[in-house]
Amino acid sequence: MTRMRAPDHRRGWDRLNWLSTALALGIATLLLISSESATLHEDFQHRLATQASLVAANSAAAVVFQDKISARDNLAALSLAPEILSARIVLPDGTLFAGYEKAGASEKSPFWAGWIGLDRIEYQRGLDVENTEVANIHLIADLTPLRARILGFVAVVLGAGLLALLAAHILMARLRRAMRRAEDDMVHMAHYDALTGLPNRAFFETHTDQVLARTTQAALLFFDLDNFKVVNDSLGHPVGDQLLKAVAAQLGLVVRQTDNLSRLGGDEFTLLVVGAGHHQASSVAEHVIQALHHPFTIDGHELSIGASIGIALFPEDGDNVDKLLRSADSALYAAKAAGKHTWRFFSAEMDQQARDRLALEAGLRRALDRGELRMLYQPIVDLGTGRHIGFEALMRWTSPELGEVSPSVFIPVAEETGLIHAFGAFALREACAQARRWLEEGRGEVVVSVNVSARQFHGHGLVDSVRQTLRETGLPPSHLDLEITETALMGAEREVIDILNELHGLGVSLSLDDFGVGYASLSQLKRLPIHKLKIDRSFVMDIPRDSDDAAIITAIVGMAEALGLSVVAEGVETLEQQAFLASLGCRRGQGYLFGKPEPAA
Amino acid sequence: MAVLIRVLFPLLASVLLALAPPARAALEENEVKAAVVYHLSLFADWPPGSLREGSFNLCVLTENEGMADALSRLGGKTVKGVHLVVWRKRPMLDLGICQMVYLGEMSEGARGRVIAQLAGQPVLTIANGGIPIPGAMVSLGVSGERVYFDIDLPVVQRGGLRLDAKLLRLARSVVK
Repeated sequence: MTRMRAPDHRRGWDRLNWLSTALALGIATLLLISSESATLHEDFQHRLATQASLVAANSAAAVVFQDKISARDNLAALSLAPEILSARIVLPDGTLFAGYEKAGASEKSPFWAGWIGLDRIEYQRGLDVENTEVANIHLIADLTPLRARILGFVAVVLGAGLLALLAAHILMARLRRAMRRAEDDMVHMAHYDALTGLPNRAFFETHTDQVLARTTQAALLFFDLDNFKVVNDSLGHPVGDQLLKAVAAQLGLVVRQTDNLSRLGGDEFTLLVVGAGHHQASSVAEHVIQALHHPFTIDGHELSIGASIGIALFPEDGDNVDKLLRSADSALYAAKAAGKHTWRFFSAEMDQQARDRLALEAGLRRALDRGELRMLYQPIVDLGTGRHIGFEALMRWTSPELGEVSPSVFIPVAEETGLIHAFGAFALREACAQARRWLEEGRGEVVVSVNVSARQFHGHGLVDSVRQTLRETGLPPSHLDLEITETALMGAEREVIDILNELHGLGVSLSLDDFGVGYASLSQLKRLPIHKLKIDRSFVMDIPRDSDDAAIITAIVGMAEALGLSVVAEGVETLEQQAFLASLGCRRGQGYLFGKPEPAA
Repeated sequence: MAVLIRVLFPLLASVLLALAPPARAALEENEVKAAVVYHLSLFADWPPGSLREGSFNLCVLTENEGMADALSRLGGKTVKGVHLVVWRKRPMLDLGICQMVYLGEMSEGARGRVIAQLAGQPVLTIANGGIPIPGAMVSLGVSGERVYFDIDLPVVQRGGLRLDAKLLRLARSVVK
C-alpha cells in the first residue's frame, strides 16, 4: 500500500531554520568579539596612559635640571614593558630631549593588522611642572599582545559558537524528526481508517484518480458484508469492530500488494485491481467471496458472514472514481438481490434499476406530505360464524409518477430510508381513528390490526407513539392489535421484549405475523406477551391437499391452544379451506374469501 | 666727521663683538643658575606650618648684581601653588620670613654667620661655591655649560626638610 511521501517544502524550511540559527549565532559572535576588542583596546590605551604618566613623573626632575643621561636611564626602564616600541621626551621647542627605542622594534606587524587598526598605537601627553609644560612625552606601543588576546578570544567565541551551532543542529534535528513523525501520523490519520489500518474513502478517491490517470484498464470491486448489520445489532459494536478488523486482515492475505484495498465506511470495502479485465475481476471476486466464506470466531461467537460484490470495469462502466463507484454500487445491489454471497458485473440495466430506485425513493419521501398514502382494511372473521371480528389495516401507495406501487416494493425502501417511522405513525393514527369511528357506529366487537415493522422497534418511539395515538383518537386499547414479524424478535432481544411488555402494559394485544416461516424459537414464545399467532398464507394455500401443511397447522393450533394463544389463518380463499381450518380447531381466518382489503365503509 | 664715523664704527663694532661672548656667557650662567634655584624649590618639601600663606619667600644674599637680577626675575612664578617673592637681603638682617636663602658671592665670614644663624631652621639654603659649602643644604657649581649641585642630606634633615629622591639622583654628590 502506498504511503504518502513527505512534502519537499519541509526540506526548504529545515534549511531556512538552520540558516537563521547560524545567522543569529554569527551576529552574536561578531557583537561579542567587537565589544571585547573595544574593551581590550581601551584597557590597553589606559595602560599606555599610565606608562606615560609614570614616565612623566620620573622624568620631571631630569627634564627641569636638564639631565639627559638621567632621563635616558629613566626611559630605559621601559624595556620591562615589552609592548612599548619607542618613547620620546620632546622639549617645547621641538628638540628631542631623550629617547628610547625597543631593540628589534623594526619588526613588522602582520599585513592585516593595519587594516583593522590593530597595528600600533600612539600616546602623547605633556609634562607639567608647576603648571608649566616643560616637555612632551610621546609613546608608541605595539599591539601584538592585544592582537594575541583578541585572537584567543575570537578562537574561544568561535569554538563556543560552533559548539552551540552543533548542539542546536542536533536539537533541531531531533525536534524536526518528532514534528515529521507527528505530521506523518496526521497524514496517516487523514488517509487511513483507524480501525482496520486500511486506506479510507478520502485516500481511496485521490489514489484511484491517480491510478486511473495512468492505466488503460482496471476493475473496481465494491462489496459489503452480508450479515454485518445483524452482528452489530445483536452482539454490539465492539464485536462488530473486531469482526471488521478480522475481515480486513483476512482480505489483506488474499489481495495482491499492488491492489488497493480500502474501507469506505461501515462494512463497505473497495478493491481496485489495476490492469484487470472481465475475466481477472471475476476470479478476484471469487477469491474474496471464498476468503470471507469461512466463519470468523470473535469473542467466542462463531460468525458466518460472507460478502456480496459489485464489479465495475474501467473505463467502460465509468471513467472516473465517482461514476465507477456508482456503477459498482448498482452491481452490488444486484448481487444482493440475486441472493447474497455472490458477485455481479455492472450492466446498463442496473443503471436503469438504480435510477428507478432513486425515483422510487424520491417519490416515497414526498408521498406522506402529498397525501398519496391511504389505508385499506381487510376483514378477519370467525371461521365458525363468518362474523367480522376485526380488520387488518394495510397501507397502499398511489404515486402520480409511478402509479400503484406494491407494499412489497415500497415498504423495504421505507425501512432502508428510515421513512418507516413516519409511515408507521401514519398507519397507526389512521387505523385507530377508523376503529374509533366503527365503535361510534356501534360495531363494538371490532379490533383493528396494524403492522409494525421490525425497524420501528429501534429506540423507544414506538410505545410513545402508540400511547399518544390511543389518547388522541380516544380508542380503547383493547380494540388495537399490533402485528409484528418474527424478524423483529431477532437481534436486540432484551430491548424488544421490554418494548413488547410496555405495549402489553398499555392494554394493546400483540400478534405474531407470518408465523411459521421465520426462526421464532418456540421457547421464546412463552416468555413473550403475545396473544395471537397468524399462520402464514403459504401453509394455508395448499390445504387440504397437502398433508404436510395440514400437519403443521394442526401442530401450530395445538401449541397455541396449550399456550393460551389464539390463531388466525391468513390467505383463506375457498370454503373448503375454511371448513378444513375450522375442523383443525383454527377459529379465525382472513382472506379473499371473506373480503379483499378495501377502504373503510 | 663722516670719515671719523667710517673709521670708528667698524672699529667700535669689532671691539663690541670681541667683548660680547664672555659677557653673554656670564649672563646665561646666571639665568641657568636662577632656574636651578627655582627648580630646587619644586623638589623640596617643607615641614608643615613652615610655609606662609600668600607668598613663598626667596631671600638673596649676593654681591653679584647679575645673579641678583637673574634671581629677581623669578618673582611672580609659583612654588607649591603660591607666588614666589624674591627679597634682596644684606647679611645680619633678619631672615625670619625666608623659606629659601641663596648665598652667593660674599665673604666667607658673613656666609658662615648666616649659615650658623639658619642652622636647624626649615629654610632651604642654597650656596654658590663650586665646591660643597659646609653647612649649606645645596651647593651649586658650574662645569662647562652645566650647572651641578651637591646635597648635604644631614643638614637638610636637621632643618626638617625633605628632598625628592629624583633630585638626589640628579645631584653630583650627596652627603648622607
